[in-house]
Amino acid sequence: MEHSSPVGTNYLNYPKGIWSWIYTLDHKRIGIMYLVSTLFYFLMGGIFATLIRIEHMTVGPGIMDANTYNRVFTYHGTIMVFMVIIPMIPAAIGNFVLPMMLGAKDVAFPRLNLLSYYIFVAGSFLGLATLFFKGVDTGWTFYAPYSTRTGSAAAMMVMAAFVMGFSSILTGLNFMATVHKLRAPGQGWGELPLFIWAIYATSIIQVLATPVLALTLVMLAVERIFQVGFFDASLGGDPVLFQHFFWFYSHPAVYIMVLPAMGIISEVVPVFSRKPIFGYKPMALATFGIAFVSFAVWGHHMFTSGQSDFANKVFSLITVFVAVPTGVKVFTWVATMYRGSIRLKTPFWYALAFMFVFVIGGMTGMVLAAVGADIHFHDTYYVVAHFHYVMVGGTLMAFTAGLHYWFPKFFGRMYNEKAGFFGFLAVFVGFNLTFFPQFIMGQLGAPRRYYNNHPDFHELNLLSSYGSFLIGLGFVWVAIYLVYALVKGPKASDNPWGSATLEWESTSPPAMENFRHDPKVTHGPYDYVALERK
Amino acid sequence: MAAHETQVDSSELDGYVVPAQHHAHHFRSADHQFATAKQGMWIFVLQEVLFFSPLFVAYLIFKFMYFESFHAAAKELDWVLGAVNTVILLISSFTMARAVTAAQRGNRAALSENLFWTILCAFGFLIVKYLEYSHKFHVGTLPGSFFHNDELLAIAPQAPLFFTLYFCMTGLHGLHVAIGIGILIWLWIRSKRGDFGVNYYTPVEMTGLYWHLVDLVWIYLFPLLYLVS
Amino acid sequence: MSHHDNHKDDHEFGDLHHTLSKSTTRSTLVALLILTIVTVIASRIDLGSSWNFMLAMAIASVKALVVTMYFMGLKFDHIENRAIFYSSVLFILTFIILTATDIFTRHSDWQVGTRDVFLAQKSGSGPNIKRPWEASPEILAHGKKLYDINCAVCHGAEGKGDGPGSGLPIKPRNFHDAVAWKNIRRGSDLNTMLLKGIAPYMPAYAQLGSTDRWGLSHYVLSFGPAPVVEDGKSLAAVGIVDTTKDDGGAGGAPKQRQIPIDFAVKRYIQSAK
Repeated sequence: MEHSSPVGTNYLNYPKGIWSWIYTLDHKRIGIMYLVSTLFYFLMGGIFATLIRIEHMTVGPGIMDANTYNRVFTYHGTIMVFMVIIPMIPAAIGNFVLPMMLGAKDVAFPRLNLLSYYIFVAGSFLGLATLFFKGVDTGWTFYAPYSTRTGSAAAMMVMAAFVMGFSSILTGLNFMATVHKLRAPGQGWGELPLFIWAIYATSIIQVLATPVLALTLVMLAVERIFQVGFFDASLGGDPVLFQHFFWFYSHPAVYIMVLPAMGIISEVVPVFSRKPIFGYKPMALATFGIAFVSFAVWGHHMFTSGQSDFANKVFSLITVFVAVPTGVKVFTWVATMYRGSIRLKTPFWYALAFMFVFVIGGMTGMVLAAVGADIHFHDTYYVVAHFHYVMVGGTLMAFTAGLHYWFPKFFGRMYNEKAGFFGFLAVFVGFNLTFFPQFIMGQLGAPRRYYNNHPDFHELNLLSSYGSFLIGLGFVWVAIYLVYALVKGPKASDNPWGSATLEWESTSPPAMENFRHDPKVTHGPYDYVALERK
Repeated sequence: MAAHETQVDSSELDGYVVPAQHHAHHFRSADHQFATAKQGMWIFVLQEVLFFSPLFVAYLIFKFMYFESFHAAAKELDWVLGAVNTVILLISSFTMARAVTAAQRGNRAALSENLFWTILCAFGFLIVKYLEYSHKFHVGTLPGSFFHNDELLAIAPQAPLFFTLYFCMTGLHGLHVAIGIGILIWLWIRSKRGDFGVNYYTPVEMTGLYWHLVDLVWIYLFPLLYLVS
Repeated sequence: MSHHDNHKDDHEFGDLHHTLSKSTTRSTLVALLILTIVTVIASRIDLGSSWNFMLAMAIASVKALVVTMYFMGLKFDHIENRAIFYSSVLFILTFIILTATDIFTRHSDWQVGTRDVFLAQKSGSGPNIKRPWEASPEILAHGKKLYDINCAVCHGAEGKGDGPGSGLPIKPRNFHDAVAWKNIRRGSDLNTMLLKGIAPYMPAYAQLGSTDRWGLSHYVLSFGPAPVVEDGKSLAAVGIVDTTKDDGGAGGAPKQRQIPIDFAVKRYIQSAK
């Protein structure tokens, strides 16, 4: 393997040829491949979302029947959760940025990294193939007993999720080993950028929680095929046990979705405030605090499932604690911006939006954490609005911030700021228009996963649907100007934003081997004064 | 290796050095690479432990929900065979540890020999498992809706659930043993080829960790499933 | 690359190439074998089921510690690897304890598997009706009870296919309509259909016992024209192999484990209190 690429080339054009991509061991190329895949699946998931919203524009049947509706929301959820939101930041952005931020030449296990990607692709193909086998209508949560009895292709879909789970586990494994063993000289734990802390905590969750889901899905498939009785009450089993096993993973999973997002915000806010992060250590500790607590709260998804009163109270109490480290983070970002030298660029617009929208999502999460309130809100649109606020308003907006922030580094081109701002406006306004009415609907009792719409919610539904079209248009616009920038945008400098993290010391785009000179850590990741002196 | 060499003091066979090893470009040294590989394997072992956990949790939950049923059903298992399998696996862990030591010392003969005994023990384990399983097929104590043993059902109504868990847990474990056999055979072939020496024995170490994990799982399975007072 | 080059990095990565001596390896095996014998002996002594269980788990954990520390070398390894592995204990304990917090604090009289449920299961589902394949006031009454609970929601209280849940793309059968009886003419046909369901909207009711299914079959048949008489073959197809016996000689068929309706209703009401 060559150790230096020809001067003037970068990882995109050297080595050349399609096979050099298919067999690549370069973490940057693997990151780009994940980026392309997850964005494609985002489009697919978005199409299913649009279908849902079109259906909800009519009281009574609209463009589909009830059974089709069940399938549409199942695919929307499954695609978005397993093929978009979970891999999006860690596998796409993380793969590219993490080793470079550490000053490493690659991740710990490059071949495993490539395998992770192909496992992901295989799993996602398997999942989408179910569309040709009667589809799946159980919801992305696959609850027993319906999932063990439905005539749809549930077994195939859970096996697809199983396969994709292993991609997630192996990526987490790789990142953990990389952060432990491949830091550049001078990079102790106290000098790591917060994005690394975030990805690291995420990787721990991936490694610990995903195997539990994997086996649970195997148990579900076995139950379906062999009627063995784990989750079937008539055979002595317990359907609620499925929910325990499922949510033991799926709750930490939402932190797999959100911690990397927070990591991005922790990078963008200091850079565009030109001020070091307010409290580095508390931020790192808060990241771990969130990851830690996330393992003990899964029962808050099960308050009305038949779970005992006592367990309800325990889970409700522990859930409330997750607000503490989350609050530390939000206050830290605000304190970082205070008296900073603000530059309103596209990544920062999305970061600002994140803070606003994520707080709403988080606060409504606390409402749901209170078991008494949740009895009223469970399975209503309030829950749907809550998780879309944190997952779309949170993770997706942070991802978009990250995509714009690292765009010049990934592709060596700069996008147009004005275009970026208009895209942001469309996405932000569209997002709130789509999901805020859903809080109101839910509060008024509108049930989720219902195909028929009550006339009482018609206006709110219309508003929500128009909002969803606006988000869709917003993202289409983002895609347009980013692709334009890729092809015709002005060349970007090595460090257009003046960031102090290591990846900006490479060229834009980086050479195949990341750094032409071995990087040495001489200042902290948010030390802009030292950077200026350099 | 020729027969007379077993009479030689085995330490005289230490010290085999394989031809120069390159380490990957992103590592500082071969040791850096080895330390990272070992850690990667430990993370994998960690996720395997979590992978088995739902079955253990399900078993514990149902055991305490259906105490008499599970007790009666567990009596149907042959604890002697279970104990034999425990001993077999412990011995195989011993020979695996000896294999790793031999690899570290560059003793090719001891490495191949200990890998061979490990593989033999593993096969022995699967043979005992086969005996157990075929007996169960014979008497009808099978998982869930395949269960057909009215005598046992009469005193243990949740016996089908017990056997579901028994087959799933020992089956998943057995699958890991079988995969281990495949890896061990490949390792044995490579050891015969002279691929491992004092300066390179990473695959042997990694396989050792995997194999001990397989032993670990059985250490918990045996008392949980087989030993009832 | 020669052997001594490795020593340069040894302090950086911990005792990376620590070699387990033959005597240590042997002692470890002996310890494990002894602990195995102890486990077996301990299981033979009755200390009360919970204590036996905890003792067995404690001994297994000691064995696990020995294997990980010595055979797997964690004792001599970098602290990171020890942390990585032993953290699993914390998370598995969280998993078990919080799940058990739910399962074992549900209403105490919901212990499925206690003796009265077991006895109810033993006697079959519901009333022990003799010769269920023959229509009788008893089996019809039983069938009506089951129909009202399971079927009326789609098929309607009077079997007209107009129940509250009948808004399906393919309407539920109207049992008063002659068209409904084209292919299903006998109780045994209904019996089989209940076992298998009709995809995609009529679910299978495989969890119902033989008597329950006969009850439903007779009741539903009563809505329609006079059924075709059963013969030996049609009865044998649903497990009635010996019409001289009161249970139809169905003793050899696998028993369906189920909670009797009365029992379930009783418990359900109790739980709401």
